[in-house]
Amino acid sequence: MLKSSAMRFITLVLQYIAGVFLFIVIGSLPVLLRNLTFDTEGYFNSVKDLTVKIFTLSNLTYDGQHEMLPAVMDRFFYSMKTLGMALFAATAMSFLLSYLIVLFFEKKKDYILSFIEIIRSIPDVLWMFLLQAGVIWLLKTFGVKFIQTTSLGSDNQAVLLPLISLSLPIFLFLAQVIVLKIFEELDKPYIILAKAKGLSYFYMLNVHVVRNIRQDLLGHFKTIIWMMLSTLVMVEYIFNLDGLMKFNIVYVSVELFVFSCILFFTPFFLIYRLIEFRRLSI
Amino acid sequence: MIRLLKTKKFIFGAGFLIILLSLSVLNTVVNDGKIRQIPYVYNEDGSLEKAPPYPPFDVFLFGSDMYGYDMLHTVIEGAKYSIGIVLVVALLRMILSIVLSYFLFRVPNRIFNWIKAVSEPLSFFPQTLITYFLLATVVMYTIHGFHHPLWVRVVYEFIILILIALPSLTVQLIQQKRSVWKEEFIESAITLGGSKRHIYFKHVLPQLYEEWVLMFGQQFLQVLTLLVHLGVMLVLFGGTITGEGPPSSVTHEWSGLIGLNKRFMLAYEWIVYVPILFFAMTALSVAMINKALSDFFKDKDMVRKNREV
Repeated sequence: MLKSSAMRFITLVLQYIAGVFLFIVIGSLPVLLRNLTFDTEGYFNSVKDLTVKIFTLSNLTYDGQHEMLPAVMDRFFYSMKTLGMALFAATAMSFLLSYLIVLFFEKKKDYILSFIEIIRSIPDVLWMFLLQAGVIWLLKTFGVKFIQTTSLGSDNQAVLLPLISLSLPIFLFLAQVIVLKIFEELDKPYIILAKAKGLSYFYMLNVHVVRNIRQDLLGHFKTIIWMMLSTLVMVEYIFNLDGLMKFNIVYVSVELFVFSCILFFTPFFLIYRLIEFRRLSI
Repeated sequence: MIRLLKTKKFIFGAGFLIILLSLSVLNTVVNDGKIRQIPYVYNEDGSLEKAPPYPPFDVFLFGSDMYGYDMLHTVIEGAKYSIGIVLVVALLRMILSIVLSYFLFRVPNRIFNWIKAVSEPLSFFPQTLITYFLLATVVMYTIHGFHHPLWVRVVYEFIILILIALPSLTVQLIQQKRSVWKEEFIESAITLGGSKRHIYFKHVLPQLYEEWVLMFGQQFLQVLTLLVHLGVMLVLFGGTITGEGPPSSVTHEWSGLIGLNKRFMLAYEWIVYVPILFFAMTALSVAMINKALSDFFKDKDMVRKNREV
């Protein structure tokens, strides 16, 4: 037992190091391809330098002069905060919607689900531009500024619109998954037993069904994070948020890119492994 | 097959794409790729009445850009490039990962776990940013002009767009094949003495090709979104023409239209909205086709199963 868990831990660390190294290898590609002549020697030197720098966390700069760590960490936490809030909002909203569908629109669920699936394919950029245009239209017609459309300085932070546009795709995706899972679960035999025992529908849904679909939802966590991260890039760029993604777009540099890859990699890597570990142990 | 053609979703999606593409190709063949332009609108006495950009529903249905070019016409001319690029990238992604997974799907579990572990980190960081990073440092326009000729840039962009999704797609396909390989009828086929190649082509592939068609649709949507993102961030496919006036896209390709016109966002918003709208319409059509196909496959499965009973 002890031996196998030690083995598992070592595999984990090895996987993590492999991941970090992969980012270094990919991140140095522009050095190899500079002017599209294969500068192999420069590439290997760059990989070597970066590896030393990353693993000792020294001499990291984002534009050749400024120290990286303080500038990057703040922005990273800001990005993660936005991501977390959007994830929370999307989860809450999608549970609300799927309960509505399950409780009141059971007959029409096929139409609603296929509608959601088709709507989901629209590029997220369209939502963002439409939201901005809507607010500007309100401003023009009523002369009242309800919310900030883009961040301008620290006093005028846009909060609501980025959150809405970041959580909208996830909200639709999650609602679709939850509704499908709930109906799948309602067909199972234990529901009949629960009905026979005289438990109320709402109680069954809240206690038994939700508990059972939680594992499946955690299985979708990876897809959700993947979708959110790519939307986050556009959200930060379009709403001019001062997060790590936009920092990467403004300062295109090998060190910054590799370091922010690793920053995002670390927490999610741990979370995924935890989820997998729990699934295995159950 | 005929039942598929009768579903509304399929007709709508396929119709939109076919009409758009054929108009776009016709514009190049018949009209030599020219775009309708009205530089100025004069009153009867010769004085200037309107100057571009015209808003929608005024001179043209979808308005015009800064130089009086009809937006709708521009978008139609660009359609074949945008949809073509997305089609080629999605198709090559699928083909390459199918070929790769054919060679890799019977590796032992230990090696497969390592393949999974190595391909995984790529999904921790947004594809958009990785592509942006790899493209911006190599093919972006600089003060000295482009470093490379057009075809090099195009090929490089294709390679990056394809490679970025290949690891995770291949792992997904391998997982599918392995799960089919575990089924009982494969074991019977092995017992009956079918060679590995025979089993693969006669038993495994028929189980999978329907899923591949659906995966191709999903890849199409992914590449489309990626292209929109890159366009917003001003990485244009193929590059930009510079010369007199502000830079313009080589091909009227849609993502280029978005990126270049983003500066008019607040004043003349339709110049940006029209290309994005067409992107969204294309995505919707593909999603509809995909939905119709998946319903069709499900129905077909049921028919097959009923017949067996």
